[in-house]
Amino acid sequence: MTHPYRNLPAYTRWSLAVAEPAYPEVNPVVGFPFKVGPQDKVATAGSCFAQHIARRLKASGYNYFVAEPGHPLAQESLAERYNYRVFSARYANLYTTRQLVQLIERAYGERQPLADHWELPNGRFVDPLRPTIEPNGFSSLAELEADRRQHLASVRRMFEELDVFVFTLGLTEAWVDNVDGTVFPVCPGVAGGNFDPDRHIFHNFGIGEVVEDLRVAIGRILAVNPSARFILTVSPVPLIATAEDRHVLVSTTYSKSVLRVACDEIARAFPERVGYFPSYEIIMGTFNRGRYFAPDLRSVTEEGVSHVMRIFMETVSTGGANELPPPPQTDDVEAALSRLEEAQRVVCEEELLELARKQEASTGLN
Amino acid sequence: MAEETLATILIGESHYAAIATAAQETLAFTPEKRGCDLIFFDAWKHSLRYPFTVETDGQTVLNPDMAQSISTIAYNYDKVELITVLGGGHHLALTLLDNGHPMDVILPDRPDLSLRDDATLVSVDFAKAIFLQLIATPFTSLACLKAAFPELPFAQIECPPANGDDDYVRSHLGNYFEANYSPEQLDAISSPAQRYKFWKLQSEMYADKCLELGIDYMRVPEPAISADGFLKPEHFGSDSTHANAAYGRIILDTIEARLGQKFMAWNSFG
Repeated sequence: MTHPYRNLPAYTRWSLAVAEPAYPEVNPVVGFPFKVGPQDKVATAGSCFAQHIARRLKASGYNYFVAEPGHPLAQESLAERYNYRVFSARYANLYTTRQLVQLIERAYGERQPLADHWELPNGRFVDPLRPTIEPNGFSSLAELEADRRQHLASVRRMFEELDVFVFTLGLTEAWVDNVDGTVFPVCPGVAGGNFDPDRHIFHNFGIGEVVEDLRVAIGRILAVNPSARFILTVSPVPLIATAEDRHVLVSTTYSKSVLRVACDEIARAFPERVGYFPSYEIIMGTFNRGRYFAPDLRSVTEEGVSHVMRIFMETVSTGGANELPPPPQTDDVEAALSRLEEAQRVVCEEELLELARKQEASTGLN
Repeated sequence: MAEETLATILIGESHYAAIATAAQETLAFTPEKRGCDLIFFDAWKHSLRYPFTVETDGQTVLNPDMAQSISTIAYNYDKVELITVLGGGHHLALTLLDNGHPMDVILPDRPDLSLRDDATLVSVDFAKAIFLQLIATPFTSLACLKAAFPELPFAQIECPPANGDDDYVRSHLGNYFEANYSPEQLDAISSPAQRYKFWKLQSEMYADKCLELGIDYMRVPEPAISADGFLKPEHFGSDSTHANAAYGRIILDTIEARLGQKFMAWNSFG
């Protein structure tokens, strides 16, 4: 007797592919549609889990593309404190697919949110779509507006120059301005602004909306960058809270399910352009018996991130050496600062030579 | 009754030179006779590498030699005033020449000032944080001086305003830049607006630090600043960074106003 399951590969069998291997050996990637080489400019965006991917790509020697690096004189820790180099541009977390679409629209001048700025009690200003991007708020409205223009120019450059775009889908729940449909990354009132129940509406995106958002986003990026390729992942980080009147575990499962299905539909729709990378499965899989979550059951451990990135490097990257110059390191910044200090010292010392001459003449001492 | 003797100890790096030169040109040099005297630290003898602070038992403290000198002066005078002109050139180190990565900011009280199209705009907070990487040392010196002499009246003087004259700046960059930079780089100086903004940012940082440490902060007096906030041409120094003795004399006048009396003589130590 024969049947379709008789000759299927081992990876199709749970016992062989999940239950029996040692947990670090589980590799759910089969036949990724393309490879990422060390010369490829890889941009990232998405939810907080995407920051792990960004951080590891940076450290791996691959060409992590940062279109908005801040200033090279800022050491890495300083730059990150101001949310530079955390993602490929300074957009902070993009939790929903609708935010990605609207970011593209804003970058190309097609959307100007009515919620233009929020004023903080200390008189400073925040960008409602990036409320924590500037640690203490922008010092003036002019500063916020100029920074936003520069940021959106960087976003355009990012989309137009990247080779690979890694997008980590995080949430389906969001708060929306019901006047113009702008999706906020954080509920107004939490990190600035005032919550207005008549204007700020809760929305839980459904599968159709998420799929359509991804189609639109990919289409828009391909329109300005026809050779771009996409890697979709789903963040395994559970919701910190749900605005639905139900258990957060139920809401989390719904959100992650929608996002996971959407990724599958889009990967099938663009089989050569879009690859789904199973970070979610690696972290959530029962094979690791919960090892990849910290005691809060939300934060992903470094061991989990390492497993994800090891599989990424083994299966998605070409594994070649990176011949590009590495990004500025702390030593480079310190060297640059030392050169500036030395330049200043030398210039200032010359000023003192004349003083010394005059002083010696005045006092008759030499 | 004999008048009280007052020593104003002036400690600085390069910007004290304008004040010291003015003192030498307008005051008597009297190392023995004491009155109301300006006594400045001879930073030039140490090639601007004088360690104002040292590490002792895991703590950063005022250089004991400096502390001893100040104490000796204090012993020989009825009253002592401490005036510093520490730091000051870092805003130009950051911005004077186009180092390939021009930086610009928008000052909240001067959004009208022009922005360079080719510069990376950063927030004032981020610019200050970058600055702090450069000016941590003079800040530490201020803190250690204050800690060593907490009771002495103490003021830090704002560094001279930036030079707003592009032609003067280009033609007075100085030997170091001319020896180490290409002609294209030497020509690509920062804009006057940039030089003003970063001088202002730096000044704010010093003002905040002095407030935190309990040190008075003496702003550059009005007579020394042009209408648009730059160093007046008659106060330009021999390079694009420093001011001259005429400026130094204005600062001396300001110090005398603070003291409530005129200087009689100058001296130096170190």
